[in-house]
Amino acid sequence: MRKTRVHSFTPNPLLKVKLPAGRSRFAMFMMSCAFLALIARALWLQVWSNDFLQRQGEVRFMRTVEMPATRGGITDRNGAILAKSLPARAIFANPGDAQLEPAQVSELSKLLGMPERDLAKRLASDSKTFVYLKRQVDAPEAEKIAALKLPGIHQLREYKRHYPDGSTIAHVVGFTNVEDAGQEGMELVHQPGLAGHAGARRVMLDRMGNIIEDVGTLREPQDGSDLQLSIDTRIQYHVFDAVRDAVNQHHAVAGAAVVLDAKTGEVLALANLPTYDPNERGALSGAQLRNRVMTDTFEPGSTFKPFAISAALEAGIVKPSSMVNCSGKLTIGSASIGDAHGHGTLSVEEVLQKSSNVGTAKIALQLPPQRMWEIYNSLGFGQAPEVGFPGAVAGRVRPWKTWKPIEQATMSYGHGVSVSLLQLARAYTVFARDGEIIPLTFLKSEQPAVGQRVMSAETARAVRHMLELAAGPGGTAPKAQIPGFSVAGKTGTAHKLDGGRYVTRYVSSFVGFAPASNPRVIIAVMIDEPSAGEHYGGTVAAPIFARIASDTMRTLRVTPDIPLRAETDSGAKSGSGSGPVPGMPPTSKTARAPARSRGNA
Amino acid sequence: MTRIDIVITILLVLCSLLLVESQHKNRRAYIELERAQQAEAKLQVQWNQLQLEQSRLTKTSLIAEAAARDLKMQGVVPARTLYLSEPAGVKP
Repeated sequence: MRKTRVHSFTPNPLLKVKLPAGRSRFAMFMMSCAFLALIARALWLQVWSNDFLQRQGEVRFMRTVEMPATRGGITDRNGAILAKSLPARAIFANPGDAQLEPAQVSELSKLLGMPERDLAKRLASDSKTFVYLKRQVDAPEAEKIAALKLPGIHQLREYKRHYPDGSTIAHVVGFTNVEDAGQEGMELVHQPGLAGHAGARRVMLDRMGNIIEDVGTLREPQDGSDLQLSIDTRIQYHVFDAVRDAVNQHHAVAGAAVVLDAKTGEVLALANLPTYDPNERGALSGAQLRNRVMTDTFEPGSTFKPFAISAALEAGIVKPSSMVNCSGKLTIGSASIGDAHGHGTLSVEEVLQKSSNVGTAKIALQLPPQRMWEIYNSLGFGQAPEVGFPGAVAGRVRPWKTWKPIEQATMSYGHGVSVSLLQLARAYTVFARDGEIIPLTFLKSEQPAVGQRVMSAETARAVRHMLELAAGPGGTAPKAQIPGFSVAGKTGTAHKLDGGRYVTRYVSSFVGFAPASNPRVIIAVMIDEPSAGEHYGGTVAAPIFARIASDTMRTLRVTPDIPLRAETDSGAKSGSGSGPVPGMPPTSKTARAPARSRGNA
Repeated sequence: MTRIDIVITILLVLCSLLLVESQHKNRRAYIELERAQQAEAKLQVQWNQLQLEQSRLTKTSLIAEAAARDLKMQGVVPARTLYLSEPAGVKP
């Protein structure tokens, strides 16, 4: 059978010749050698020296994919978003490849929102291989651009920061640059926590470009953590509105206000004018960027008087009822100190109520300079407040050893020292908290602040009563009063310094708290160079305080602490009430409220 | 070749084919997973966008303006507020 089969395949008689055994073996040997060589080569390539092939394989199928991380958001104390990052695209071109038709250039320029000529110019720069056309393009626009499938036009993934509250809260929140890194405000201070860290992983792709296998994670991505501020956007809106209206009304250069929680030391609102929109950072000026509450110092004027008086009370040099002769001028050396309106003999209480420079200076001069300096120092003047904010300034209080008597006298009523509005507001916490000063924070805190005692509760309460009188009908700031709540505070009107000389330009200020019976918030207001006729703190800054205090009390749902009858009348007079005015039935709380200075209104 | 060898060889081939098949299924499932994760990321972005939009639309200034203009509402002032005292002994 076998023979037949062989013959059937080899009809050629030549092949029937049997080969010599040697040649047959030789051929077999050579073929075996060839196979062995192939096997050896295969082993060499795949087992011993496989780097090259592995590398080539990886180049074709392995990719490192970035795992993006998002920057943390910033919210107010109630969770309202103040800053959030959303994916955006950077559109770039490779001018060498981007040979576009005029119609395509026109369409692209419309989508990018840039002039056609500028776009054509960028695309014409042949020497470059990479040119940004526009950064921070919102995702929907970027998708439209991608849909055009233009040659040489590519996109990079990036993030764009959005600030829904815009200019209202710009100075606190700050802003980021195009790389999503903090540049100002809380964005800058909390950059390490807010910034996320992008991760990376090795993946295997199929020929369609799909990821088919996760080979391993090189770095875990880490999203930035969210930040919750102490700011209450509802109060912030009222504060910003009040300051803006006042700056417009008084044709002022600038204005600022800050609201502090007297219990926790949280900054509830901080407004600055002029301001800027952090969403549109094209042309920002220094004046717009300045956070005047923190970085500007000014001579506080009369708002500084309570500190010298409290130091004198604390030292036992005077009592609230002690009488001081405030008539005429007080001459020290070649300089003399006077009051805008003449006063006779006043009690210490009245000195503060009427804001007498002569009276305050006479009281202060009875104090050793060191004692006065110590109280200023313990209240945080001359030191940068530790509030975790960039650029918070220290202000200036010279060392007591260099004080001359005239300087000690002028300092007592707020000249010859410089402070920031935030320092001033914080210092008033001693009067609001029975002698304790508390640290401030821009972050939400549920815990009551731990204070540091600066003066006795008795002294603080006495000064608080004086401040209540100052904001009352016989004081310098009756316009600080608000319906339903007792208020306490002090006006300030200071000449500005220009080139070392006092000029007839003013800073009007008011610092106070409400309700005076149990202070809930401390409010400081400053209007820089009011120039529409009025410049006194009592007429410029006090009404802003009243407006802010009233809105804040309502927003925080604080129960009124004084009867409303007088206010109902004033409400009816101003015509703000429509329909019947119910007034307020005496509640157990209001019935307990002490009869305040407003009683004689 | 004994019978057992043949059986083992067939089993080996079968196992190899099943391995290839399961690898293929694994890859298809992974592609699905990737797509689902991408969809999740997209939804997350949308969620963020909507949150932002909500913040924009609920700005105090917008609400105050709309309340005063469209609804003719006025701000609450103590003079026009009726305060009720809590009955004695009731804690809030």
